[in-house]
Amino acid sequence: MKRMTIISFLLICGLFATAQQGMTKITVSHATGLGMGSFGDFIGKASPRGFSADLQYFINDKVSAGLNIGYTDFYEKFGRQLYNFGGEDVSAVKTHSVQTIPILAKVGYNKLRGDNSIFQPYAALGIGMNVIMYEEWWGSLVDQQNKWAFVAAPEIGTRIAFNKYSAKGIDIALRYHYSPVKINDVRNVQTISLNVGFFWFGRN
Amino acid sequence: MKVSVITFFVASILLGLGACRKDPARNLTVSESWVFITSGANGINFSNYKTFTIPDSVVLISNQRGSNNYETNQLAQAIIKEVGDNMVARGFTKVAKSSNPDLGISISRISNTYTNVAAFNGWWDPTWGYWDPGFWGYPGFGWAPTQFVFYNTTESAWAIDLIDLKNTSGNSLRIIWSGNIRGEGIFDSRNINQLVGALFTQSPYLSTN
Repeated sequence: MKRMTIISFLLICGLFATAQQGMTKITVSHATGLGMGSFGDFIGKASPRGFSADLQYFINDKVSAGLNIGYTDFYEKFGRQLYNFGGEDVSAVKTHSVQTIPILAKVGYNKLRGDNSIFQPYAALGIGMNVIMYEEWWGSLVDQQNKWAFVAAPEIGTRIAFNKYSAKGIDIALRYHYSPVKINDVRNVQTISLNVGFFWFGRN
Repeated sequence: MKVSVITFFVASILLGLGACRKDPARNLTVSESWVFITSGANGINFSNYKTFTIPDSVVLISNQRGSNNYETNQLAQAIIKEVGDNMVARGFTKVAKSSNPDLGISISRISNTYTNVAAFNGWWDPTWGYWDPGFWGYPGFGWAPTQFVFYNTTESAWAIDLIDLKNTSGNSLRIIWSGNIRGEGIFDSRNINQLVGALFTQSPYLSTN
């Protein structure tokens, strides 16, 4: 019985590299985010305070579909400056704080490379809603706005299996988010995130 | 599969907790929290004004203690002296109210507890406790409001207003300069020197020269 189990396990492992159909890939990553465009002007500092969680069901060996949820906390504090608004002068230390939570329905194409490599690059496109929590602080005064916005998120990445037969490994992905939403001087929220984490496959 | 989904969500929550938000309010020092708002550079030539008067008490505007409260405590005296000293340093002469001053200075301490008020343009209304125009020698006058926009109200503020007592057309008194101070620790008398100094520093036009 024990031998049968080992043989079955090896068979499954051996088959793994070539057949993910019907399996679900789960990825949990740390995310480093950076704002771009007018959002990058608003907060120029990269943020290490982020994560991404991804669930992909493999429809066949090449195409996967599923959900992704991410979170990034963008923050930047500026030194005291004098701002002029018509007849008013305002002197303040400004802090810009934005949290983005993109919730995506995602489709991936996964066979960009041969079966026997531990590197399995992929490309994906997600669309969904981005929850944007915007705060512009003037000293201790805050202008706060929360928005829900459409988000499109193309992505490239690769999974790096622990070995040729492993269903687990490291996942690295670069994802760009675009949300057409205007908040004060931010004309749209564009961010790019580097996601590094672990993946594993589960069978349905 | 069920276990995988549960693991997925547990891992997401753990990572979410790990990726905490950097709270702007907790990352400000007391002096960084201060906001100075001044208005008054609208073509007014302050060299036309030479003298000023300042009451010996501060108006307390509070939604907790009712209206028409006046304070003469150490904090009130500290700010009255500091504002007066800054005015003198800018070339103005302090005179008694009875000596027909060109300018009246009103200092108000606002201590309210409500939040989420974006526009705040009514506290000079006598019902809020502002000096009645009659105090300045113009009974029956009203106030010509200036326009302030605050982003969100916090609990406390100083409002210092220069009132034109020289040109009193119509039946309203005109505020020709306003300084507002917001933030943490602004009711600490040790900070008054810095707070008032900052208002004057960002208003270089406020001078007899």
